[in-house]
Amino acid sequence: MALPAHISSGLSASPARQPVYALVGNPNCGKSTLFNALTGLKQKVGNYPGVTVEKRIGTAYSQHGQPITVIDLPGTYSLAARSPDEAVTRDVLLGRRNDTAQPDRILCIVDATNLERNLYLVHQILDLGRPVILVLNMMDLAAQAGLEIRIGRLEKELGIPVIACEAINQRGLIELKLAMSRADLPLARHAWDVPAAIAPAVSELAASLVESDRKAPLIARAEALLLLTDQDSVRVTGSTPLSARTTEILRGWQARWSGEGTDWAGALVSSRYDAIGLLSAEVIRANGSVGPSISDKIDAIATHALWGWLVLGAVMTLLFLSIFTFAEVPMNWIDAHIAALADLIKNKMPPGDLRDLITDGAIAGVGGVLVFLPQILILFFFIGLLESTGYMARAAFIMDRLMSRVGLNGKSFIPMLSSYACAIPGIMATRTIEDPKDRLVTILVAPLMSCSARLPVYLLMIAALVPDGRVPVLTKVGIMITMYALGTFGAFFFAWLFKRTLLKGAPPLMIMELPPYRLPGIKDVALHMFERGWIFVRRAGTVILGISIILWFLAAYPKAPEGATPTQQLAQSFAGRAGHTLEPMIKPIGFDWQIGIGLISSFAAREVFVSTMGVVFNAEATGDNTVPLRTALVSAKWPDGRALFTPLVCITLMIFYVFAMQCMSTIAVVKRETNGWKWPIFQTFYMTGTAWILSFIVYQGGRALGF
Amino acid sequence: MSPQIQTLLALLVVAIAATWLVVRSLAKKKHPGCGGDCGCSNNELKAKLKN
Repeated sequence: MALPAHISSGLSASPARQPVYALVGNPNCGKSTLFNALTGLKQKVGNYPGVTVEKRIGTAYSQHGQPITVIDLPGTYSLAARSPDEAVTRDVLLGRRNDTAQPDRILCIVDATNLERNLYLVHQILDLGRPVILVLNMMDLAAQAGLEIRIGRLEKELGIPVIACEAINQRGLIELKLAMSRADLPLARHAWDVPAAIAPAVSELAASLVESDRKAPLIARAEALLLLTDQDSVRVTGSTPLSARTTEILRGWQARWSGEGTDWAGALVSSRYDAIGLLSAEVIRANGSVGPSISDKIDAIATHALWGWLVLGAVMTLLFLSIFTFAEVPMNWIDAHIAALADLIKNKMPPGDLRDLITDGAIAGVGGVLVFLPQILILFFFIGLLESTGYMARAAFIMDRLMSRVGLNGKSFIPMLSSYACAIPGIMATRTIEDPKDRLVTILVAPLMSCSARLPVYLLMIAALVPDGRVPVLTKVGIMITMYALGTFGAFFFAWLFKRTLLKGAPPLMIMELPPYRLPGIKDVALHMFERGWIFVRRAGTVILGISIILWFLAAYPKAPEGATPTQQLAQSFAGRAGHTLEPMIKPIGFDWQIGIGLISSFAAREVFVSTMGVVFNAEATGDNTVPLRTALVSAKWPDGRALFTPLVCITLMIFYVFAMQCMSTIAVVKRETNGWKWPIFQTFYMTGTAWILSFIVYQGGRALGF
Repeated sequence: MSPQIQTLLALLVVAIAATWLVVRSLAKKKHPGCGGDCGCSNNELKAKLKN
C-alpha cells in the first residue's frame, strides 16, 4: 500500500526529516518505561496512573542507527479528553497543537493483562488512519494471569504490526525497533463500522471538515466521530474554532436526533464496544480457571477497611524508622567532616571577614543543609519503592475514603502524594483533575503536605528537643509521623472548608485503577533517588550557598564598635534589625528575633531556615572551634537566661512550618497554574495565618500547662 | 592576608552572590518552576481556567 506523501517523505532516506512516533496508551500501561527504554532518557515512571501530565520528546535509534523521534504523551482511556493532560494527547494526535508537529506514526501501547479495555483507545487511534504499531506490554503478567493472546490473529484483524513486549525488562525492544524503522508500515484501517443511522452524519461532517476547516482527509473522519461523541472537544478546541458550516451541520444532526430521541453518542460508543467484544473473543484465551491473583490476595488485606489503615501505618513507621536509624552514621560523618573543614580554614587563615564568610557563612549555611542528604535519599528511596510496587495506588484507595468525605477528588491523591516530595510537581500534577473547582481546591491544599524541604527543619528541631540530644528513636518517629499527619489532615480540613464555602461543587467520584503489584524496578528507584538527591545537593551548592553568603553579610554588617560581643554584633546588624522588627509578632508564639531572621530568610525556601540558623548561631559562637548546629541551638538563650529552644518552642516551630507558606517557588507556580495573583495571595495568607494561630494555641496552651 | 584585603574580597563575593541571585530570579526560564520532573506551562489549561 502506498503511503501518503507527508508520511512517505518522513520515512525516506532524507537526513533532514526523522520519523516522528507518538507513544500513546491508557494510564499506567508502561508508556514512560517504554519511552525510557527506547530513548535512554530518565523520565519519571511509577506504578500508578497520572505520572506523565505533559508530552516529552526523545530520540530513539533503530538497529541501523537511524534516529527516530518519540513523543511520550500522557495516558488516556479515550480520545474524548476529560482533563487537561488527556487533552494534550488528543490535540497532539489530531495536529491541533502549534508547538508540536502532528506525528507521522503512532506507537500504541496496551496493557496485555487488560487488553479488552485498552482496545477502546486502540480503536480510536486506528480511526486516525495513520501507520500504527501495537505494543502488547506486560506479556509476562498476562501469562501469569493465565491469558494467552493470539498475536498473529490480532495482527490479521487489525492489519497492523503487533509486538509483544516487557518494557520493564527491555524484552521485545529489538523487534519493536525493527518495526519502527520499517519504511513500509501499513496504514491502519478502520476496525469497525459506524452504525448505519449515524454514518451519513459522519460522512457529511468529515466532508465539511475537509472543505471548510482544511483538515486532512485522514483526520477528518476521526474528528467527525469525536465531535459526535465528545461534546467537550467542541469547547476546548478554543484556538481552532470550527467553521460556521461544520458547526451548523453538527447542530443540525444533533437537533434531528434529539427530536427523534436517538442517543447518537451512546450508539457510537456501544457499536465500538460491540466490535471490541468480538475481536477480544477471537484473540484472548483464558487458560484454565482463573482464581484470585496474587495482587487480589494482597489487596484483600492492603485495601481492607481496618487492616488497610494498619498496613499504611506500619509502612509509614518503617519509612521514618529507616530515616532515623540508617541515616545516623552517614549524617554524623558528614557533620564531622564539615566541622573539620571549617576548623581547618579557621586554623590556616588569619582572622578577617573572608575567613568568617567562608566558615560562618558558606560552610555553616551549606553544611547545615547538606548534613540531611542521607535522610533525603532514604525518603526518596522508600517513596520510589512504594510507587514502583504499586502500593501507592492502594494508599490512594485507603485515603480516598477520607478524601471523598471532605469533598476531595479521588484524582487529588497523586498531586497530594507528589507534594510530599515537593509541592511544585504536586501542583503540576493537578492537571489530571477534570473539574476546575476540584483542581483549585487541590492546588490550595497541596502545599500543606510536608515536603522534603521541611524535613531538615523537623529533623533539626527534633535534634534540639532534648539537651543531651538523646531522644528515643521511637519518639522521633512519633513526632515525625505527627507532623506529616498534621499536614495531611490539615489539607483535608481546608479542602472540606473550601468545598463548602469558596468552591462549592458536587461531591466527586473516585475512579482509579489499581495496578497489579510488581517487583520494584530497583534501577528506576535508584535513578529517582539520586535525581532527587542531586537536586537537593545542587540547591545547597547554588541557591542556598548564595543566600548563606548574603545572610552572612546581613549578620556581619554594619559592624558593631570595637569590643562588642558576637550577640551585640548580630543584634545591631541588618539581619538582627529585621529580626527585631518581626519579634513583636512572633514573641507570642515563643520565637525571638534570631528565629525571626530564619523565618524571613526561609521565604526563599524552607530548608534555608536551617542554613540561617547555622549562620546566625555560628556568628554568635565564640572561639575558633566550630560547634555542631544542634549544640548551638540547645545552648541558645533569651536575654534573661532562659533557654530559647525549649521542647515546647521546638514543637511550636515545627507546627509553624507544617502550615506556613514559606516557599516563593510554590507561590510562583500557583500563580502560573491559576492564571493570576488572587489565589496565591489567598493561599499565602490562609496558610501563614493558620500557622500563626495554631502555633499560638500550642505555645500558650503548653505554657499554661507548665511546659 | 591583611584584614582589609579580606574585607574587600568578602564584600566582592557578597556582591557577586547578590547579583547572581537577582539575575537568576529575573531570568526567563525555559520551563519555569517545573521542579525537574513535572512538565511545563500549559496555555490550554490557562484558557480553561479563565472560562
